[in-house]
Amino acid sequence: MRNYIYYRFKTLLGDKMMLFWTLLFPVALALFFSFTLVKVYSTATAFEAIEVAVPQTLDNQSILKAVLPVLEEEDLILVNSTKDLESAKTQLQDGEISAIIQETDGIVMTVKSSTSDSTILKMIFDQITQKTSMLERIFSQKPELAATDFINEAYTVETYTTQIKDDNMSFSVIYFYSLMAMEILYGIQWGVKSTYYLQAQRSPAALRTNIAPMSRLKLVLIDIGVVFVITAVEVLLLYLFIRYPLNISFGNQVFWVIAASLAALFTAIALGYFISVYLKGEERHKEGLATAITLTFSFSCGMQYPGLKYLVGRYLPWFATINPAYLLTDSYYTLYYGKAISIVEKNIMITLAIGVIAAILAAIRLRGDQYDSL
Amino acid sequence: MTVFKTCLRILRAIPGVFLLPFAVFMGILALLSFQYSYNPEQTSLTFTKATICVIDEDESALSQGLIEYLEKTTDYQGICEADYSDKVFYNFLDGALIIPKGYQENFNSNRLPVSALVYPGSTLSVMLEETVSSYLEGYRIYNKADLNVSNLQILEWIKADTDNTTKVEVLAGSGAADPREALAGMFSASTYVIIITVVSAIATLLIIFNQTQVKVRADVSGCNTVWVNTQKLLAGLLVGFATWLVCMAILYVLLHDYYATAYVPVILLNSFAMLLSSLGLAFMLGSIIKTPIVLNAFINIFALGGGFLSGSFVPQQFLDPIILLIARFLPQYWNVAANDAIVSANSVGAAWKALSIPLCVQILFGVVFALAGFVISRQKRRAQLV
Repeated sequence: MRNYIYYRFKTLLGDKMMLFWTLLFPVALALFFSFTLVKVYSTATAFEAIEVAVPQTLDNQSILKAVLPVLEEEDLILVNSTKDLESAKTQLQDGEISAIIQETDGIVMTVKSSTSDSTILKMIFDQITQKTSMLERIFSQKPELAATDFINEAYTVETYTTQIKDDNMSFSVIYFYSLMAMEILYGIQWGVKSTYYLQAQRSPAALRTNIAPMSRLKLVLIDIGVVFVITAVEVLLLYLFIRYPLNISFGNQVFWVIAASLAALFTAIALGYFISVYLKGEERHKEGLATAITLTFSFSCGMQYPGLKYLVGRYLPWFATINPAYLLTDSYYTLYYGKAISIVEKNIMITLAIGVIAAILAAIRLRGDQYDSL
Repeated sequence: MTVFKTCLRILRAIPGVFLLPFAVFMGILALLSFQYSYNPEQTSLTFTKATICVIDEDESALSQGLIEYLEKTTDYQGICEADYSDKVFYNFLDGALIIPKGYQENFNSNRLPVSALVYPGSTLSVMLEETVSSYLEGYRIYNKADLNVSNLQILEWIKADTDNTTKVEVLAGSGAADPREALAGMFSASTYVIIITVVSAIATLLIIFNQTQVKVRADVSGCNTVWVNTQKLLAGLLVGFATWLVCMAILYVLLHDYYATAYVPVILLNSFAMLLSSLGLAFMLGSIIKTPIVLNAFINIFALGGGFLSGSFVPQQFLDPIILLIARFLPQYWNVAANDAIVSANSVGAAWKALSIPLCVQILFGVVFALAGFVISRQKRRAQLV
């Protein structure tokens, strides 16, 4: 038996291309994601003070003279030193500044195009324009206020909102979770590969295996065990790579991360066996179907576009329920976000149920294989 | 032209080489269409609106007034649904506002804050804060002035005041929608499909022809070696150009509205330079690599990895300077850099000028790759003869 286990490992690990696609490729993808996407989602949306030019000398009566220092102090804008209008226009054209602000009859803002920066600037200066008309109305009703400190008080901006703090919120984690899901779904490929060495009609190696003096059940169990160990080690290596060098959080509940991953892994391998024993035809067709299922499931849980995970969950709930990759990323997301463990438990139960059904059906088929008696 | 025809027959037998990258490409284009918004009808400025939902626990005149204002100034989605936090996480909402119970009652003393669930530190969170602030500042100031008028009167005044907006002018020559950014973004992404398809197809052909049995048969045939190689080269070039044309046709069909710019020839030439780099790379890999399986692994890493590192999928401005420094040794970097330069060019003349260096570098990559392939295959042939 020890020899059989040894040769099963040797045969499966001898496929260097399989190892490349199921281990090195996901590691490389994780690396590429961390080089690019993490930074994009941490800086692309981060707010920085918007640089503007005010190419005129402001007198003491000017509204801008009063409000610009306040806005600079609040890190909303950054006024550059340009005082020449033509230079400011060149800077705006070249994208060095986001707007030119001038005060003539009222505040006038010159922009190049509609960007989020120009939108924010418009909001800020709209607010100032509105306050000006508001003050005119107030002073017409109560002129004595004009002589007080009311103007300064009006132009002081107060804070009305408080952000619900959630520093954990990072869109980029979904890319890594779906990558882990893809890695686990490669168990389907391993399952397909494994039956190639198990069904006598499919390969010379399988033929030799089947004439070995060992019970069928034992052969199948060893086979599943070997595939499970290989894929589990691959998943573990990818997890450690993502978790530590790349520093992507999976939450604090490691036990549940492992449980959800192992359940999905079992199901992926069982699906691989199921596809392989029921689908007739050439090996490449079986491998092709396994690849297509892996990619479709990974895609639908947000590997290429994280928002797709939400859309699938909302509009195709039945597909989300039968997709082990979706259930797994949902569990990771739940653990990361610190939501109820019951969601993870439910996902694991559904995943295991799919796996058990696939395993039983595959076992029935494998058990029914009959070969000519020697 | 037996060899030429055989090459085409081989390619017909491996349609996956073409179909899979094109399918991925279509997917990438679909995803990028979310990132780039271009409306050819747009002739003036349209400002971004945050997509929000609100939970109104107060249900007062003030909270209703605020919601009316938000309906006018944001892309208001109504009352928040139960999964609003998921929607914010997945960027389907820019934010969710929660107006607490007793907000109007406690506005002037012990004011409760309006809670905002937004992506932390994002630009849109600032936008949302400014929008809320615009309305509530009015309420604060009128209350502070103590004008002895009703609450409803104050809300009416605020409604009127918020109609006053800042005058916005557009810099001469700007304002209308410019398709360059979207077009350049899509063309940058197309480098992936050009490389992977051209290299996979041509290098696979060369690998098959380099197999000993095939090679020996070709050598003992009556055909001149130079003529055989010329036919292989012609087949390779035909496949390369055809792939590029198909890629361009897909881009045109999907993005024909975006082609209404004089910068299109510059962008097309840049893309053609990428084809030349890919052809050189294909000839080199076809000489070095022995099996299509290894080629498949290598080219996937090169095309996908190079795409990520060079900014084909995310803008170069978000990439680490060290990554960009490494990416300079990849042709994709120069292609994307040229596209970026074309986007920021002030005139078509400036765009042509900006393209010159990246164009030369991409062609140089192609020449160096092809020469390296030629030298390696020559050395291999000599080693076999010895």
